[in-house]
Amino acid sequence: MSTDHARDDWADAQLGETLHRTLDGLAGQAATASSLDEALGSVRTRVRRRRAAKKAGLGVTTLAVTGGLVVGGSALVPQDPVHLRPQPAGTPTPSGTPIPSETAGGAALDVIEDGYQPAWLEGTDLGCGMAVADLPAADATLELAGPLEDAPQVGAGTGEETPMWRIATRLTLPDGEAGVLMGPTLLWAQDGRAVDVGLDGTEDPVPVPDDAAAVDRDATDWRHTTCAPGDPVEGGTASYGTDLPAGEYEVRAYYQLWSEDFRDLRLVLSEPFTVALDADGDVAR
Amino acid sequence: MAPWEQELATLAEHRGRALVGYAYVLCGDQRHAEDLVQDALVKVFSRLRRREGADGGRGVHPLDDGGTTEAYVRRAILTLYLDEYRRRRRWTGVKHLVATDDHARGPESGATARADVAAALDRLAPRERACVVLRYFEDLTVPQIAEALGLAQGTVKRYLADATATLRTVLQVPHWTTTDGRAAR
Repeated sequence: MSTDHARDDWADAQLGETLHRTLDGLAGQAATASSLDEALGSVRTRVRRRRAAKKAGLGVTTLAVTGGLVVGGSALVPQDPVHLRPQPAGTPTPSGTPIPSETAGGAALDVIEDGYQPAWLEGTDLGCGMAVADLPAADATLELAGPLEDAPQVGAGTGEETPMWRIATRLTLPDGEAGVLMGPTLLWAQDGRAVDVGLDGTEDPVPVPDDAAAVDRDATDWRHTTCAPGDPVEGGTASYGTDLPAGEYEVRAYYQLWSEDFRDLRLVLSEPFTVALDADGDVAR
Repeated sequence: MAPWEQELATLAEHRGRALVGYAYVLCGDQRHAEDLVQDALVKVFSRLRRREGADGGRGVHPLDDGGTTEAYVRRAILTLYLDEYRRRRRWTGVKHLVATDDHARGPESGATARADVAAALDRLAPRERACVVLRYFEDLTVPQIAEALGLAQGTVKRYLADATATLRTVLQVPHWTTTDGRAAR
């Protein structure tokens, strides 16, 4: 900082220098005593809630324009379907530099980082490697409404195709239920442990409609497991480039559901279904 | 991790303590300073601004112009501090300090001088205090302070004159009158 205070006609140079030095000292003391690091998690959670709330507000506008998100949820027609659906365009992000995929087979637990939790699941008990027995019980309000299908998505601008899966779901809404939905996506488990927690839905929250009995949305996921983080790519975004190995998996669709006041966050899970992946990462038919 | 989260973590890691120091010289209380910084971070990073990524994908970013994130957070700290005092009306108009013998030390007695200045700053009106901090800690010019606070430059000068008169008493710095009529920047 410069110390050019001599030209202040309300104070002489000596007072200016004294104030400057003293304020620096006060700030230094406070900086040394700072415990901001410990509060960063809380700050992050508050930001996430507010961003979700704001986006939900934007979603309300979108719904009003498009006629509402109702049973037969195809009414939620985004201008760009690729980007309104939970997908790896925000976080996670497909790395620009291909990361070698690991699909040579073997236990999924060997390729994931046990205990890892993607940032978007902060505030939930869901994490990689956790026992599925510790998950909340399947919620009868979330039903699977179709088979698991390939649904490759083409990146806007790049034309690159990302292999994706989708499965139709229906969330039945109890009377008076209010809040904000994020997802749905898929939770993959093998040998009773979570090995892939699906996609980040926090960038595209949807408010629970006031006047609908159900929400129909496709749960989407991609082949890379979000339980095996790679090095951050440019911009600090986490990258995921490891495929789940061949094998049999127990898969659940799930939503994250914020309460209306954004104080409580809970998971809503479907009943599990079984999926077998072959060595190419395809669903064995 | 979303880009905003990475940016938040980086800012907190590298500049968090400096931000707390800045908040502290404004409010004079450690815990309050930490709260101000946290609230400012939440305020800034909760803003949604769309930024097209290299792949054309939709992204969101708290900031969308050329300013630095830290500058936005500092501005938010200042605004939150002033808004809070505006709401609470805690300022009662007490402006003068009585210099006791305990205060009668030169500026070279560092720790004591800081304690005295801290006490004196507590007696300043929030806007006076903000002017002092922006001038003598942030090194802003009078026009910059006026813009930051939404005040006329003459008002800023008056606040600074009143505030430094109070602080001079505490610091026991002799008043060297300028005689050449130089205007403040």
